[in-house]
Amino acid sequence: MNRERAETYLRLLAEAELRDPALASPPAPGSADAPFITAPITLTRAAWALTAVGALDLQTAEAILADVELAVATRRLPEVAVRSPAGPHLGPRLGPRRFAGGRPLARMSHLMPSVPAPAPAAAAADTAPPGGPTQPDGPAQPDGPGRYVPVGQMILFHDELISGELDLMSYAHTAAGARFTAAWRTRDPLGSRHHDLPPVDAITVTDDRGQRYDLVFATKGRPESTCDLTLRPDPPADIGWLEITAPGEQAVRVDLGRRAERPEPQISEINLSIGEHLLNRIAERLLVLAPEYQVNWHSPLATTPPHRAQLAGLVTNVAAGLGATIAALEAAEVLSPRSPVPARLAALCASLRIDGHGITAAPAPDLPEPWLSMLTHYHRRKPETATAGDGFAALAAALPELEGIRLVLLGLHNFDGGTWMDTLALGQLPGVQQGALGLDMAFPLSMWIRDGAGRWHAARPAGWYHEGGEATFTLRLTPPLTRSCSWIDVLATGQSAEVRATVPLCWGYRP
Amino acid sequence: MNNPVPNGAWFTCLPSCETQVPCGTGRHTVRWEAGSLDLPSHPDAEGELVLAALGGDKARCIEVAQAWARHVDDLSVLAIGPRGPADQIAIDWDDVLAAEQADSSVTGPPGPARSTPMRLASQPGPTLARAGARQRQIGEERRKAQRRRNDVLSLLALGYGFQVRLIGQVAAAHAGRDGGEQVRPALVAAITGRLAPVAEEWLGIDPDQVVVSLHAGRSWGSSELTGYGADRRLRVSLPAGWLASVWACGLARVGRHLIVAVQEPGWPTARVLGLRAPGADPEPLVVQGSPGDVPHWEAYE
Repeated sequence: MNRERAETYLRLLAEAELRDPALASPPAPGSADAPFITAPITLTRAAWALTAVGALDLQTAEAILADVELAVATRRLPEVAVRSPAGPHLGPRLGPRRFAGGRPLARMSHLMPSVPAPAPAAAAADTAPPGGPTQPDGPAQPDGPGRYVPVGQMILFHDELISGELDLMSYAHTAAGARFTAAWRTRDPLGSRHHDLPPVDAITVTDDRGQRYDLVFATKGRPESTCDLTLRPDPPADIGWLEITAPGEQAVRVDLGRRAERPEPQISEINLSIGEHLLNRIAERLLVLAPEYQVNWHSPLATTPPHRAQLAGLVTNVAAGLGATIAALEAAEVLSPRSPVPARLAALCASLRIDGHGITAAPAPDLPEPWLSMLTHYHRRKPETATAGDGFAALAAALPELEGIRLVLLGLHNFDGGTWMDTLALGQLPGVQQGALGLDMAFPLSMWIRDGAGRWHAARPAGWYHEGGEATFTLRLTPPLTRSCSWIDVLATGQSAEVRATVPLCWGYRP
Repeated sequence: MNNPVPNGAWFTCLPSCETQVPCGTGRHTVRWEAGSLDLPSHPDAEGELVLAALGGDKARCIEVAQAWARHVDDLSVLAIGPRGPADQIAIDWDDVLAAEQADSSVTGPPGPARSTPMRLASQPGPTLARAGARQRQIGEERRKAQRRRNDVLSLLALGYGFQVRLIGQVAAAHAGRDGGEQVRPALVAAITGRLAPVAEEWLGIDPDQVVVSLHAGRSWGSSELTGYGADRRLRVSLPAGWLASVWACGLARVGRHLIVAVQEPGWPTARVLGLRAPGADPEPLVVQGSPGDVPHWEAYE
């Protein structure tokens, strides 16, 4: 990594942008940035990319952008600036707006991960079974927690006011405590769906030694359809079963001695540069955005209805400045000029009909299989394909550590047309999530799921909850699953290694 | 051939310049001469500063002189200031006043510190204390950013002649130091941004095709033209001092020559080294300046 070249590149890019006579023109009336003068997007994207890979510190990047903003502002002619739809009564100057008033100039710190949270992995790692990640979901160890069990049982409940079910997908016992990961739904006496919480206070839980537990309900920042049911007090690590009795129903025994039958995850070394890793994640963001906004990629953007063009704007915004981003990463020597990734990005943009990205590499003739799978899905007009019905799958699979993070998959469910994978993260977890372009910088992995039919689904974090040194979050699958397959392949890629794991799914269905 | 370049005050080729600054109820002259800012209307600037510290108003002229002193080695001046005569910076004193008024409407006027602490129902916890400290830090950062911006606006409002002299001052300050990788990127960008439009006039080359590196050593540097079409590049290696002794003095291009160094500085006559073409040896030239904010130079035949 060459930090001096990185900074020099950014400053020279600023010089080139300042030579652009268009900078002296005011923003279009009514445009989102009309009140303020901001640095050109190519510059902000390059600055963000350089800070994201650690080639430039935040303070320097912010100082450069602040200087550029002031340089642009001082070159904007006042007689141009007063041409405001509000009329001439504003006076001859636009000082407060021109110089942003009390607004701090360029700030990027909110786009970057904060200091990593204290590592919680020590407890889990210390108590992991011999062989470490190869048998992570085995029975509890006598000297502490670290136990993940697939469950796949439905707990029905009903009384005079509410009925519904808790779909227990897994049981996990870590340093932060023991809990079930569950999907849930409630109905009123007439059978209509509503949003009251399940009556967990009225549910009794007893273990194989006669100890009783309370259940604590928490969604922990995830979609409403999922929750954690934490046991209080914390149970012993080696209990064999739990018996759960809900109002109006028979007791249900949950066997905690069950083991997930699955092949061992395959770990292979890869050699991605940090620049390639970042570009891959930008590509995945583009692939995820495309169906989210249901853009019709078969017609030119200019002819799409206004609301769709607006949504497509979000996609093109992610692609804007990609050429400068790539050049910045090359200048910082974190991306080889011979890397195939820029050409793949160019091919992806071409396939999604995105212009203005500035990538100079010719589009690559071949793309990674997961990208191709998603593109094929869109181009066959599949985005509106009916998704699988609501349902949940028992799942408990701990993946080997990648990039300092150990993921534990604790459930998968379809709900309201979406597919979600409930996940626990242990390890070095940054505290802030959202980065520029909607990239979750706290999650340093690229995650893909291949369903039983061979179709790939991008899995990106949606909502995190930090507790006791762990992070609970859901991975949203794009596109959602269209059928309830009996197994999935999980592909998690970091910078230096990737993990492939085949995970069997045991589906439960709602009545 | 690399002719050694003599040391000497970078501003010897620059005549004095002056401007009018709104100060109190009138307008006062501020003058730059031989590398120093002079305030003829404030002969006892030190005394006025003492009075200002005791609560009196500070004269605008004195604020400007203080801002100048604060920024004589500020690399941001190179990033914000003009790249050449055609690069018009549209700042005047109305803009400075408007920006200052906008600040006071956001942060409120400075007032006396509260002498009696507010009573709280309970002692603030550590979280509250941290939040308060963070809030104070944000406020302090904002005030510093506002002061810095208002400083820069004031200095730009002095006009083009003062702008280029301040750029020369900053470049000269860094030319004499080995700032290493902390300052090289800013200096390379500053030279590129100012050499590129000159090279466009000199050779008709696209400014984006000008590649500058920072030259270290006693010689003037080097130049070459490489490639064709889109791959054409003018590669020039110059010391940081070029910005001060050549560019800021208005000497960057004289006739058909790109001036790369000053051999014998002086006003209104100087002896310089000029390139007729990239890669050629520099030729000594005697040049004659005519007055202006930044002088215009012609080569003696």
